[in-house]
Amino acid sequence: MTDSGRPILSVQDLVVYRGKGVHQGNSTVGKDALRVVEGVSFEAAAGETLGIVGESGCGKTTLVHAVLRLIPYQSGQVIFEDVDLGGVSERKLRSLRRDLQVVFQDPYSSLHPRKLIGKILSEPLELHTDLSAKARERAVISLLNDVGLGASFAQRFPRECSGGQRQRVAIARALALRPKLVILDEPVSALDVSIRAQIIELLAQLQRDRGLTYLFISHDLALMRSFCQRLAVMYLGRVVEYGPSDVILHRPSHPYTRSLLASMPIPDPEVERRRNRIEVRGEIPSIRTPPSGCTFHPRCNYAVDRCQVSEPMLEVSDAGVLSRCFFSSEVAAQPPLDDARSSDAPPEPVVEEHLFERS
Amino acid sequence: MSGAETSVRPASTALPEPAPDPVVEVADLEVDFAVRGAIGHAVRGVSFQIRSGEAVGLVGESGSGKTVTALSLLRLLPDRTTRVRARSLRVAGVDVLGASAASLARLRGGAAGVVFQDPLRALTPTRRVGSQIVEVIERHSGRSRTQARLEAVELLSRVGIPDARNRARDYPHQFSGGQRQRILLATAVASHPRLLIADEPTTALDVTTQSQILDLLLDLQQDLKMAVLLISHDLGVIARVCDRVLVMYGGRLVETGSTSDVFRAPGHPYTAGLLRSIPRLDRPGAVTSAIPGEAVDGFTQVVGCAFVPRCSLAAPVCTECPELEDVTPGHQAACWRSELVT
Ligand SMILES: Nc1ncnc2c1ncn2[C@@H]1O[C@H](COP(=O)(O)OP(=O)(O)OP(=O)(O)O)[C@@H](O)[C@H]1O
Ligand SMILES: Nc1ncnc2c1ncn2[C@@H]1O[C@H](COP(=O)(O)OP(=O)(O)OP(=O)(O)O)[C@@H](O)[C@H]1O
Ligand code: SF4
Ligand code: SF4
Ligand SMILES: [Mg+2]
Ligand SMILES: [Mg+2]
Repeated sequence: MTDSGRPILSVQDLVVYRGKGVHQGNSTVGKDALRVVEGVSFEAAAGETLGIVGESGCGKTTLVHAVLRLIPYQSGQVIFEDVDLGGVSERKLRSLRRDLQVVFQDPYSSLHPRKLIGKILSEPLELHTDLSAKARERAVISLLNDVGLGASFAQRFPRECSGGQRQRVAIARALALRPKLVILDEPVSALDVSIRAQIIELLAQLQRDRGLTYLFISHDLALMRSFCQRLAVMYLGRVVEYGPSDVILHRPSHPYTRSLLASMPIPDPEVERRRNRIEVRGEIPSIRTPPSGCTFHPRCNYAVDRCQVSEPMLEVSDAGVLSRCFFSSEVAAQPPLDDARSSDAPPEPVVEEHLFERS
Repeated sequence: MSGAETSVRPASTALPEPAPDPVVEVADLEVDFAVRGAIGHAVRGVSFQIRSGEAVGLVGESGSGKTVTALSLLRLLPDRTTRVRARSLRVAGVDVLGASAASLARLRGGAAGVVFQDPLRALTPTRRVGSQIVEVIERHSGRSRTQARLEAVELLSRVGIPDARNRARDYPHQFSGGQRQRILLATAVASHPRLLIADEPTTALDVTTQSQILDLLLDLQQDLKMAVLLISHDLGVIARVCDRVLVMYGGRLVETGSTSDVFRAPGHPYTAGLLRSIPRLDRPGAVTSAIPGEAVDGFTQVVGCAFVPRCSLAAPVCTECPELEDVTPGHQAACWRSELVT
């Protein structure tokens, strides 16, 4: 990949285990530990948005928690603004975290239940800035307004807010200190389209004004296409496709990405019913006993014998992206998927048809 | 116009016998909160019914009152700070507002299963997920422990937890966000409930897993003839699963009807805006527009139609609050100017 900007965050060959007996930098782990992230590399250039997509349980949250050093990683490197996070002291890490903020996936457990939202938002300002109490109060209100909440929310406890309201408080908190990099783990999935659009506009504007970089985990592919410049598609702990998001989401080079695109629901009952789903079938394999060869082979429509025994590497496909598939160029040559209404649709819908399709 | 051939899902149009008593019957639900001196009205005059075997979608902006509506069906809101009133509130034959604590407890997790938006509400962090499901099965079916264990593992693998037999022994925090959400679904259906309330059950899920979970939901619903109340802001999900849809705005129902009618020809400007603002992969070039303006919540004072500040059709008449009225038979909207909505 060629970068226009300098990478602000660079992750190389990261391997992360979860479970018992896992310690930073240890090559040995307990026998029950699971190898959840398997040699992941990516770079985020300053001022860009890197998206991460992938099946539930594939290791996205684990990956970013390791990047933040909230959990240990076994090998690999995380470099943030030329500092190797693996080697820094806890103290240095705390000061770096000011520039490196995160919005956790679960807005219910990440907000302190017994603190008023005003307190939750002003605390980081108290710790890291010398704003006066009055100025902090103004900052809190403007943060609340930025995420579409009124000033009165400062006087509420998290449990007195709806799911989407809490999520927005978490976003406001992450932006409070004007960080350089924000890691957002499914930040808008709990939000309805309208507020989601508002939050995305806010994030985009901050990016334009302050050159913020985002690491953005989401399963909303339509959003990914418009918001992310670059995309990493993960499957079972590995990156299987990596490159410009408009290319990947228009002309995927990996069968898994292709099936992701094919199973997006469309908000139109008629289209939904007529669509010919080519979903990923079969069970999600266990990371404890990953399939041999290409780990996607048991569920892949393109698989041949070879895929069961040898493992494909990340290589450049004809579409110009990195793909971990022996047939990446053939996959990329398939007709684009984004018009679900055209080619795949059978002419006359029979009423029960979609019921049979599902079995 | 609506009819059998345009209905989204054939299941309910093919209901054989005369329709059974509704599993959920809500009339004029009002929910107020006290927050440090102020009173907020989170839900105002909401009425609807759900029959067995019917899936109803509840959509609406963040803070519009969806979760509060759902939680009041089982009286799950904090008693001290909440006031719930209704002309009638019946769930699976139980008069929820008059019921004893014991019969409410039987209802929750028994005849009514819930997938909470807040996953911590339902899973006990200190207990293995398998035994939490086993407990539900034992309590409601009287199966032996061994039998219940088998069933729990089967359920876990049906919701797509790999290696379910081993993972049943893990604690909630050892699962990913989406896995926890699916474990909640397994717990909620473990008692074979007559009603399933699912509050954003697939938000944390990628599209393929989501798709499998929705299939499972449809299967269970048909096998068990479950009534389903599905809350989601994802209109694609609603289109896939629900026969009917309820649209909330500012604590009120502003539109109801069959999913196909409402999606094809919305009768309320809010619904129309909602449908327009979704980025769609099947229409790459299509303009998506956010609904301009601020959301209202229960603590905002509103006179007349709550949508006025954001509505391009607003007219002087809108200073009076519109009631739900028929747009076409079976399709209602609360808007003075619904015939102008496009
Ligand atoms: N503390 C833990 N102990 C053991 N296994 C864990 C632990 N935390 C996560 N896992 C497992 O690691 C895998 C990756 O989890 P992770 O939370 O990173 O997934 P994810 O990609 O973020 O999924 P989602 O989209 O559902 O949030 C999952 O299979 C999960 O069950
Ligand atoms: N315990 C509470 N005390 C005070 N206000 C509350 C409480 N719970 C909810 N509210 C308020 O009631 C309104 C409706 O909340 P509800 O949780 O039903 O929203 P929602 O439609 O589910 O939104 P979301 O999509 O964000 O989850 C919101 O304005 C919320 O702030
Ligand atoms: S290498 Fe084989 S199994 Fe793997 S994605 Fe490509 S075709 Fe499918
Ligand atoms: S009643 Fe008036 S303001 Fe309200 S939605 Fe209809 S046109 Fe708009
Ligand atoms: Mg996650
Ligand atoms: Mg809610």
